[in-house]
Amino acid sequence: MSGMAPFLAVTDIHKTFDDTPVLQGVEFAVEVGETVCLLGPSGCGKTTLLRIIAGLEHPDRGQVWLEGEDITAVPPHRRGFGLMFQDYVLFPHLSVADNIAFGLRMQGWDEARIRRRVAELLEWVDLTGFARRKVYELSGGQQQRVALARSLAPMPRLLMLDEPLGSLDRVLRDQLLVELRRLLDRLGQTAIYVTHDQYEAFAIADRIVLLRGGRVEQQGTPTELYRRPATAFVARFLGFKNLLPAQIEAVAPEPVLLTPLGRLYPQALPAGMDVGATVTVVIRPEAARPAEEGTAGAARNRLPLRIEHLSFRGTHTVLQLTPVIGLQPEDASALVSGLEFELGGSLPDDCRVGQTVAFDIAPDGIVILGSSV
Amino acid sequence: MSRALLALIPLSFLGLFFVYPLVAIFRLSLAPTAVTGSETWRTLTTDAYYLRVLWFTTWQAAVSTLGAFALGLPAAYVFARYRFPGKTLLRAVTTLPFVLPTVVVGTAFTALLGPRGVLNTALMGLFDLETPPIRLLHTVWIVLLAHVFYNTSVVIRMVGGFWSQLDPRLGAAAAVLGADAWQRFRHVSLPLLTPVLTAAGLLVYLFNFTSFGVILILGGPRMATLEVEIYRTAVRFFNLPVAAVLALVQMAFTLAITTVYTRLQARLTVPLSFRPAQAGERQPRTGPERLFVFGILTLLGLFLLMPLAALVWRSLTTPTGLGLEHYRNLFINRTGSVFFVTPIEALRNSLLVAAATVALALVVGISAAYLLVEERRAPSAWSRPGRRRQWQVLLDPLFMLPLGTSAVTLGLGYIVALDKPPLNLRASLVIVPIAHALIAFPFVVRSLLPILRGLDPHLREAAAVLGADPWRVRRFVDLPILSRGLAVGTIFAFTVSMGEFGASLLLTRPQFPTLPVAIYRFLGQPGMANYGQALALSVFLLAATACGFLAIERVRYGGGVEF
Repeated sequence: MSGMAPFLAVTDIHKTFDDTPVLQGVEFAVEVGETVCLLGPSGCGKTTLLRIIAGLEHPDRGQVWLEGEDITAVPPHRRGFGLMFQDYVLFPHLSVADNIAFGLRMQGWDEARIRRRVAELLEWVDLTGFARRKVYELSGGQQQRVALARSLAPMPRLLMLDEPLGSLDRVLRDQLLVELRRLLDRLGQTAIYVTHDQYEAFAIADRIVLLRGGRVEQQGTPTELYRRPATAFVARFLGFKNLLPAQIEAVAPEPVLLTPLGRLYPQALPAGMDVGATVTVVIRPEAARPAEEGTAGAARNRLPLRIEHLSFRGTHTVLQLTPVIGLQPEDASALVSGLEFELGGSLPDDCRVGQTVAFDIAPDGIVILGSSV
Repeated sequence: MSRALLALIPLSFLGLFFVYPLVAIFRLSLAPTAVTGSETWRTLTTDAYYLRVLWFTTWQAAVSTLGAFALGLPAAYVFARYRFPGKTLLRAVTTLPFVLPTVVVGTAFTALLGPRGVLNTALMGLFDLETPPIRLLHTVWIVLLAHVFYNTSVVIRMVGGFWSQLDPRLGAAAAVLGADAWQRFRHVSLPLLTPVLTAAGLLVYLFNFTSFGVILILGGPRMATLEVEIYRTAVRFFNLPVAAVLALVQMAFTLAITTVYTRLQARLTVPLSFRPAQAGERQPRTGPERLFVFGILTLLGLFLLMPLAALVWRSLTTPTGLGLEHYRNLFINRTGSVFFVTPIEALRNSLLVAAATVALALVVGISAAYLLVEERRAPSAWSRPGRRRQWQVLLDPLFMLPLGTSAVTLGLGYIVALDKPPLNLRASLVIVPIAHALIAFPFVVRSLLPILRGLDPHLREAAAVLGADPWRVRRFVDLPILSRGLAVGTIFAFTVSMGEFGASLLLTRPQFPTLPVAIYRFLGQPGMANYGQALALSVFLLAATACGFLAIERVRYGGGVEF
């Protein structure tokens, strides 16, 4: 480690369970005060990675570094981290207050100080008055908050949260997500947040590390990931629908792509792309507009599409569409789910189910990903 | 079937064959003795001999319990938290002693440690000794060893079962919060295990307190627990009033222990955060960890298998080397006495008694189990046990009482109460199966209750809506779901009957002995040939109970029926 070491870093982490590789060379770092989200579908290894950082698992290869110091071999109870488990794992034999006080007792705090700290935390998580309750008498949301208080009580240098909202319903989840974000910001708490839900990740993370099959697929701020998904997997995982295989037909004077829908003209190509290269293209759902009258013929990026389904979502309308021309049967597989556009404002009269309408795609709405599908 | 009729079967059975004999014992204890003419109670409380018996009973039970925990607790931990090859087999081996009849355990320990046992013979041959170097027979040591042999399996089964279902992530949560290994045990595992530790401790203590067959066979003529003293007073000296007082004293003790036990048992069902077992199992990793697991398992395997192996080996050893002579002799009535039956007839007797026991225990047990289950209409909140009515709360421990009552006391009660009109069964052959069924039916109830309580009431409602009348609901919904529990209960009743010793010793007719009684008789007679007969019969009994037990394990593991 050279110069300013990051607060926490993992390097080249490998882990295999029963001959199944779970983590294959994962690397990422966390800076003080930031919330990093480990995002990925189930089975991508994110929980195992978290358990390795907590010291509950030992990696087959690779290290965990804390402020430039190798802590891979340090047992969990000497790391001073906090971990909030997926379904909370509260101690069933202890009251709410004793659950929160557990870590403080392990550190040998005196009882008066423990009482003050527990009262403070109960207030933070809005559970004042619940101190003497049995944990199994609490609702799911209340248990979640006790678990959060328990992991925050000993003032951990790093707080880890493993799908902390996973077993709650949507409404409660949204509410707790906001509260959690506010609390982490107020404490300046360094945190790692594990989830499979991109919506949660985008709401809470300063930075996202997207995992796939035990490897880091892409990392960056939520905006970076959204603007420039590195691969088709990232794009699909973030909910992008309109993915197309494409070939670069020309680079200069202006870039031209050959797609199953015909030629598309993006604003720019990523550096280092040559003619003939196969890439994946995403058409942003909000980048389409019904073609203006009178501009026919002149316009590039114009696609005639049949409207299959319309659904009004308040601020915008979602349209499901199928291409009318240009598709060979073998290309259709690339567009099984069809195209999906989001149109703001009120729709033109001829935008009805069954109608074929010409759409113009904004050039900056055509995103070229690094690899092929 | 109406509830009243359903209640009639178990209640009348319990009344006639449990309460009535015990009341008879109580009345008899108040009668003056024929011997001294004074009141029995005063004689006993002032007699130093009986106080010594009570003291011995108490302390040997305590020491035996400690011994069982010393070996059982580490083993329970290893079974709960580690994965290792041959685990299923070893688990079966560790549970086996618990279902073995006392006479088999007694005979097995004589075969291992007795003067002519495997160890002594080997040592004498090895060092060319004249006399056996190990002289443990008829000392308290061999009794303690046999008790530990018996009860280690109870500790492993109860504590290990509970431990393996404790969420291992609770330990992980504590570790992340800064608790080291000892603190995790002290502040998380131990408090969560306390109810099951106390329950197992009480149960083991109770078994040791009422120990009978082991003391009778291994302790020699001068060693006596209360249970043995009751038997000797009643049978040898035929002083029934004194035996009755002793039985009452013992009952007071066992009742106190079982009351606490059932209280705890109820608390064990409080919903904790349980996970399916295996979730917390892992391979031992570090060197010391491997050594610990390997050491405990080796010790356990040797300790549990050696007596049984010695029994089998010794039964095949004849004066002329290895052979089946002892087994061939089973078919011969060597004494030619009228009261003497060929050993193989004892086996037949035992099978007949066991069959009758199963039938009785099933009828009583099934009706009792249904009686105990509230017919729930609404699904209960959470996994909390549904609310039960007051009388059900009282009936539950009542149906468990026969388990806590000593078999000898029960036999004594039958001798006192059932030998004169209106109920004269003393000469009848059914008296033995009745006694066995009384001991066995609580097992049937316990096998069925968890399934019946867990039965989703919606299933019955769904069947009813689909057009099934109440009878067909029982036939097509209850029965298939209960079948595993019934199988377990049946085998339990069968093995209990095959191995039952205390009551049988008092109640069997001389010409109709069951297997354990026949073994005891052979052990009491001098000569190699008789000892050989006892060994061969013990192997039969061992095989029968082991098969029954393996069948239970299969049924259970297949369906996840918990006991």
